[in-house]
Formats: sequence, C-alpha cells, structure tokens
Amino acid sequence: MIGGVMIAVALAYLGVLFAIAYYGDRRAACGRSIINNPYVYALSMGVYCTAWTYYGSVGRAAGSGLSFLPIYIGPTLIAVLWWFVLRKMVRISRINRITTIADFMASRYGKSTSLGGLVTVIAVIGIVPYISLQLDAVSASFMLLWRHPQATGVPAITPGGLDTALWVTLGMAAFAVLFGTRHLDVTEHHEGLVAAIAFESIVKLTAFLAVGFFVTFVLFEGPGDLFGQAQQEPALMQLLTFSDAMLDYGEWAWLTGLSMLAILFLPRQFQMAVLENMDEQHIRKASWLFPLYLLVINIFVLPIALAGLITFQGQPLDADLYVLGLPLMAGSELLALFVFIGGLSAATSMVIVDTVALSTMVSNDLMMPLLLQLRILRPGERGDYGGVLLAIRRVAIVAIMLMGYVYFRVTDTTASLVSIGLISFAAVAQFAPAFLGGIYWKGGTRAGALIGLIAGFLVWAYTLPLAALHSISGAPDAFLLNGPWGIAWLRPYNLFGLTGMDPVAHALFWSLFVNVAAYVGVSLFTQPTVLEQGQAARFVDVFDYASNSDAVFLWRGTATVEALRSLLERFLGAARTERLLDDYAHRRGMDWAATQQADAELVQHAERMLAGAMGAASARVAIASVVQEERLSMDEVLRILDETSQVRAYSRQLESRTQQLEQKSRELEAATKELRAANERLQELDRLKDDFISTVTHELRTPLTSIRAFSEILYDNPTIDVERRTRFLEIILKESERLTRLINQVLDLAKLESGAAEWSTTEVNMANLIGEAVTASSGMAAEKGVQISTQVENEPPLLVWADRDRIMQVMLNLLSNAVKFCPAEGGRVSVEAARQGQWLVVRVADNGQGITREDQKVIFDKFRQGGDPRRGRPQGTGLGLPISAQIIDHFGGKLWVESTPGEGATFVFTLPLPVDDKQ
Amino acid sequence: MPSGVRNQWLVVIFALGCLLFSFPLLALFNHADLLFGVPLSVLYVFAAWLLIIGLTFLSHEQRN
Repeated sequence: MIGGVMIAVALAYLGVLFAIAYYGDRRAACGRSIINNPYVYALSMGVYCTAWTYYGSVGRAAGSGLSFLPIYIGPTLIAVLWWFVLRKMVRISRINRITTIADFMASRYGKSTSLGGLVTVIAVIGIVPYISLQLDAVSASFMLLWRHPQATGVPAITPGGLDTALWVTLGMAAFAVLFGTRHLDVTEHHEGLVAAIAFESIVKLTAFLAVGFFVTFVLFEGPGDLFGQAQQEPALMQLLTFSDAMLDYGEWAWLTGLSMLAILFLPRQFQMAVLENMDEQHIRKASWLFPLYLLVINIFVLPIALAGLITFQGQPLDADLYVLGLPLMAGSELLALFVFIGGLSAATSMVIVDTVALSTMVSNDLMMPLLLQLRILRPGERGDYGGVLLAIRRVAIVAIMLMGYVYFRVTDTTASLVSIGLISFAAVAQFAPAFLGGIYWKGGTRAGALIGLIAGFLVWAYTLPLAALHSISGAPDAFLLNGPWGIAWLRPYNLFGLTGMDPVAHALFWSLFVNVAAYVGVSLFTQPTVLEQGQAARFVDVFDYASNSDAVFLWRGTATVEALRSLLERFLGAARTERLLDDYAHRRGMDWAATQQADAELVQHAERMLAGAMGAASARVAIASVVQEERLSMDEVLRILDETSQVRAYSRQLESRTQQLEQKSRELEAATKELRAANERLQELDRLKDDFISTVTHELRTPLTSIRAFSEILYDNPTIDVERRTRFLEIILKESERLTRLINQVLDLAKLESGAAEWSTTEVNMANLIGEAVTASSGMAAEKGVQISTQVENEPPLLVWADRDRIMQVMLNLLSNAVKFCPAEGGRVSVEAARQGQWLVVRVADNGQGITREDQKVIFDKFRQGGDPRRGRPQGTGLGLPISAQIIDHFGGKLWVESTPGEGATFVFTLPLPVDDKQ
Repeated sequence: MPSGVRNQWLVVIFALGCLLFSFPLLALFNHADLLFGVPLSVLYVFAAWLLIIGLTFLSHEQRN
C-alpha cells in the first residue's frame, strides 16, 4: 500500500545525500570547509552504527538481554585512550600520505606490496558478511513495509524471478559507485562524503529515538510500565540481568575487547577517524562526543525489545524487525516510513564508506602493484592511468556488493544480524597485532606481520564463516559436530577441544593467539630490511619528527626530472603535476629549466605525491621503474640514522639553549632598565647634592664673612673705643650663633633625609606640648610686643603617637616664624588645635604681611625664604620649614600654608589620631 | 590542566572503565529490581557509561 511512496521517499533521501555531498565539496573547493570542526568529525564516526545497531541490537536484546551493549562500551573505553592511539595514527597517516589501512600496514613494513595485498584480501573477505548484514536488514525492512499489513520478515522471491535482496544490492552498488568514486585522489579529504555521513548519523539517531519514544511513552506508559510488565514474565525477566553462569560475563568481556579493536581497525572507522581527520585537536571532543552518541542511540534498545516481545508474543516476526514492526502494528505508517529511512541511512552510510575504503585498497594495494609488477601497466609508456584506477575501483565496489549478496544467499538467512556482524569484527581484529605492534614496537618485521596475519586469518576463516556455511539450515551438520573426517579436536566451534566459550569468543581467542604468537615469534627471528627499519623508526617515533621535511633519506639514487614528471603526469594528470611541481620548486627556490637531475628529496617528494593517489607500495614500485637506485649498506643506514638522531638531539639542545638565552636576555634587559633608572635617580640626587652644597657654603659664607670682617677691624684697631668694640663683639657672637644653628640644622636635615634620624615615639599630649611651646616662645614674643593666644580643644585629650621633642621642634619653628613675621606694632599670633575626624589639626596664624602665592610654593624648599629680598633678609636659615615638613611627614601628617597677601599667614599641620581612640 | 597530568588521568579513567564493566562489579548490581522504573542492572551499566563519558569530557575540556 505504501510501497510506492516508500520507494519515492527512499530515492528522494538518496538525492538529498548527493546534494549534501555536492555542497560539501563545493565549500571545500572555496576553502570554506563545513566539516572542519570536531562536531562533524564526531558525527561522522557515527558510521559505526549501521543496520546492526539500528535493527540488530533490538534483536540481540530480545534474544539475550544486555549482551548487545559491549559492542558500544568497548569503543567508549578505547575512546578514552584516543588521545594517544588515534592521534598517533592520524599523525603517521598525514606525514606518510596514507590512503587506507592496508596502505598503512604496507608502508610500516617497508612499503611491502605483499602485505598491502594481504591486508586488502582480509579486509574485503572480512567485511563481506558485514555488507550482507546491511543487505539483509534493508531488504527485510523493505519487504515488511511492502507487504504491510501482512507481517512477515523473510524476504522472498518476487514474481520477476529476481529477489528483493538482489535489487537492494544492485541499487546500493550503483549508489556507492556514483557516490564513492567521484574523485581520483584519495589523500585529499572527501569533504562531501564526510558531510553526508554526518548527516546520516543525525537521521538514524533521530529516527531511532523517535520510535523508541513512541514505543515507550505512547504504546506503553513509560519505562516503569514496560519493565513492570516484563517482570511478570520469567522469560523476559531473564533478559534484564546476567545469568549467574560465568559464560555471560566472559562473553561480555570478549565482546568489549573485540569492539575496542573493531573501532580502531574497521576500514570505514579508519577512513573516518584517521584519514578524514582535519585537525588532531578534534580528537579531544570526539573522544567524549562519540561515546555519548553511542549511549544515546542505545537508550531505547531494551525498551523496544521488551515491547516487541510483549506485543508480538507467538507471532513469527523476526526480533530484528521489532523497530519497524511496532509502529506498523500501532498503525502509525508515517513513523514506520521514517524508521525505514533511518534504517536505510544506517545501512547506506556503512556501505558507502566501506566500499570507498575497500575499493581504494583493491585498486591501490592489490591491483596496481600486480599490474605494475606483471608489466601489464608500464609506467615508461604513454597513457593515462588515472582512468584505470577509477575503473578498478568501480568494478571493485560492484564485486564487493555482489559478494555480500552471495554470502547472504548462501549462509543461514535466519541468523541474527549481530551474529553476522561479529564475524566481520573478528576478521578486522586480526590487524591489531601487526598494526599496534607496528606503531609501538620497532622490532616488528614484515615477515612477522605477514605470517601472523595469514595464521590469524586462516583460523578465523575456519572457525567462523566456514562454520557458518555448515549450519545453513539452522541445524549443525556432521562437520560441525564431529569435525572434518571425524577428527574431534578440529571441530570448528571447539578447536583443540576448547569448550565453554561461545563461537565468537572461541574464534577470537584462537585466531589472535596464533596471530600474536606468529607475529612476535617470527619478528624476533628475522632481520628487518633497511627500508623496514627506516619506516619503523618513522612510525614509532612519529612525534619526534617535526614534520615530513626532516624525514630520513634512506635512499640514494639518480633520476631525471623529465622521467619523474612524465611518471607523475600519467597518474595524476598534467595540470595537477604541473601545480605540485611548481609548488615544490617555489618552496625550494628551484628553477626547473636549470635542473636536470632529481635529488633524493625530489624523488621522495614525487613518491609521496604518487602515494596519495595509488598507495605507498604501488608508488614505490612505480618510482623504482624510473629511478636508478643505489642500494645502501646496513652500515651506511645505521650511520645516517645515527647522524639524524644526533642532529635531532643537537637541534633539541640548541632549541632549549636558545630558550635559556632568550630568557637570560630578557632578564638582562629588565636589569638594564632598572640600572638606567637607578642611574638617572643617582644623577638627579647628585645634582641636588651639588645644589645643596653650593647653597650651604653660600649660606655659611655670609656669617663667616661678617665674623671675619669685624674680627679684622678689632685686630687692626687695638685702640677702638669700648662701646664700638662691644657692638662688634656682639655682632660676632650673633653671627657665630647663627652659624652654629645653621650647621646644626644642615646636619639635622641630612639625618632626616638619609633616614638615619633617631625617633623615640611615645604618646604625646598635644595640649601640654602646645602650652610648653607657647611658654618657651613667650620671651621672644614679648621682645617684639607680640601677643600669643591659644585655643586647644582638649576634651577628650588630644593624644598622638609621635616623638615629643621633634613635634616640639616643629611647634617652636612655626611659632618663631609667626612672631618673626608679625608687624612691629600690634602683632598677634593665635594657636589652635582641634580634632577633625581621625586627624588632629594644629593651626598657627599671624597677622603679618602674608605670603605671596609664588612664595607659598617655595618656602618648603631648602634655603628658600619668603619675602622681598630688597626689604632685607628675614632672620633664619631657610631650613626650618623643610625640616618641620619632613618631621610631620614622618608621622603620617601634612604641613602646609594658607595665606592671603596683606592678611597674615596660617601654617597648618595635621597628625593622625589613633583609630581606637574613643575617649 | 597540564598535559602530563591529563594524560595520566586518561589512563586512570580507562582503567576505571575496564573495572566498572567487568565481572565482580557487574555481578554486584545484577538485580532486576526496579529503581526509578528501570532495572538496577540496566541503570548501573548506563550510569557507569555516563560516568566514563563525563570524566573523559572533564579531562579534555577543563582548562585549568
């Protein structure tokens, strides 16, 4: 009924995929990538979730409960370590221009064509069951919808003689050919492909969550209701826990380990996670986002499985199809259609990426080396081989899809999806020893990798797919029960008599056992070739190489530029070759016209360019065909490696030395700056000192001159009368006193400024101190006829922490100044002390001529006195105020003057009162 | 977080994950009793799963 609509929607969906891929490629061509972010990267890894997850997990859960989960928990655990493992794989692949996992292995073990070919064969054969799983799921879901409302999941032969699965196969193959082989070069990122896969990840997740939500909350009343109903049935209850038998836990552990390896080595995961990685930093986000994706897509698996078991009790619907069956049963055809599209997206994403990866392997790592070595293709001849590569890839895609179909037809069609997929997982797990050994152990050799792989693969083939072929009708035949020719210890499911394990765990154990043993054992007994050793070092120590520019040149030989150019043109096309070579020349500052002979670096560069299109092993063969190679001896290689490592060590030392020097020079610069500042300050001080000394000597000379003058008069005139003599002696005495005072003050100031003055801080009652100062000054005041009035607020008592004698010095200085500047008649000086907040404020005011604004600025400088020089110098040294200011400053206060010319002057100082003074 | 410390954290999280998802601890929570409407065994697996994801998130995304 909805069949026609279904086909139309499916085709429209595939059209959307093409549009997205086209858009992605367009954006990449403009340099505005839409996939260069960690979210798309993590989503593109969602290609891990195929029809297996979409349909198969529910089937698995309906059959054996929680055992569908390890397949997703394994990747979660290994994702924690991605920052080490995956980042290393990405770095190696980028530097070596790796194109497939087979290329990776071949490249690591000395660019071995045989190893690349072997990995390709294993990958293709291993993935065939996985492809058949997708075909199975898509055709079954298609049939279920097509025949609705008759519910049955078994695909049947259609009247035309061709069955649904074949149609699905051909349709998908055509799609994969169109989609996957649009470009030749495989090292450039497939931006459109990645964008489409990320989109498919969103579609399948949304569809699955939609059906899960529908089943749990619409068909049932939430998880409580669903699980509650399940608990009524002992058979269903069993699914919610592990049986007590250790078998369950053992199987759980094996499946977790297996899926850890699968997520690293499945060709499509390698393609997405390693080859399509745009930035190593994206691994950070992906290593928690991708596990989160897996968790979310699995939330509703168990509820759907239980709902299916409760709803379809006794009906012949395959549990793998509950996802689709439940919405159909509920009459929600629109949702069913959406679910079908989700399943289609899960299957197509897997088929697209796997066929791209596998067909690239077949063309680069299997067919090309064969064609080159068998001289069917001769690089020396004219012709465009890019087309040959593409043709090989297209044929390979169709062939792989047909093999999937054949496997689907031949094997037991009632086998569950998960059990089919696990066979493929076990196959790719065979890559693990040689791969992981290859990136962490320099001792692994080509021979070890080859023999280990072959041994593991043979055991796998015998214990899993071959055994599966022998249980076609669902009932095990004599081969399985009794072993070949009745040899019991060769029974495929009980090899060497091992029992108590499920078939996958059993196969995995034996295959990995022989694989690891052969790899390690043979590696230890064989000598690696020169090239192998070089590659081993480049892979294992990849993080020690800054970039491919300091790659070790384990090669010496000669080639003409012309020969290299024509070789590149044949595989890459004339335009691209021209561009690549020009880039290279530009970077090296070379001129092709003047260069006839290619050096080792250029040859290596050409090989890498070629590797990007046809894989490392093929590129090696192709290059060898135009290059006269000189074999290096082992001694020479060791010397080169040694030199390289020495150079690396030197450069590292140099780098750290440079950093140290930079650090030192920065410190030096800072010190110099400080020194310069200090020097400037010193020079300034020196200048001040010179000024000071010249002023002091000048000031000293004045009284000295008058002392000397009057002494001379007295000396020269012994007959001078008594009256004049007395007056002269009086002058001499006064000038000597002034001289003494001046010297004392200079010394005092010097002490204050150098900080050498001694302070004895005590609690000082300011009212008392002011009283004493006024009394002491009263003699001088009376002499000039000046009245001194005081007004002190001494309630509460004004107590400050200060040096009593010093403050007294300040008060006396201010009072004597005030008296000095009072007019001859009617002079008045007032002293006030009061509290203002936390401050004591003392004001000493006179009614003299005042101080001009200009003088106010300078009277606190040394030896500067106010007043008009023409009106005679006032008495004083010019040091009193600077000393007073220093003292007040020392106790945290301020000294300043307020004055209006003609109206007297007021000197004010403040001192801080103790904060806790609350009396 | 300094890269050396983060790397050590990642290894610790991996080890913790292996422990949480293996025999003795799985058996400890192997009951079908419902908690929040979900069997304890299922709840445990998903909670442990989320914990590992959360820890990985923290060790990668925390700046200091």
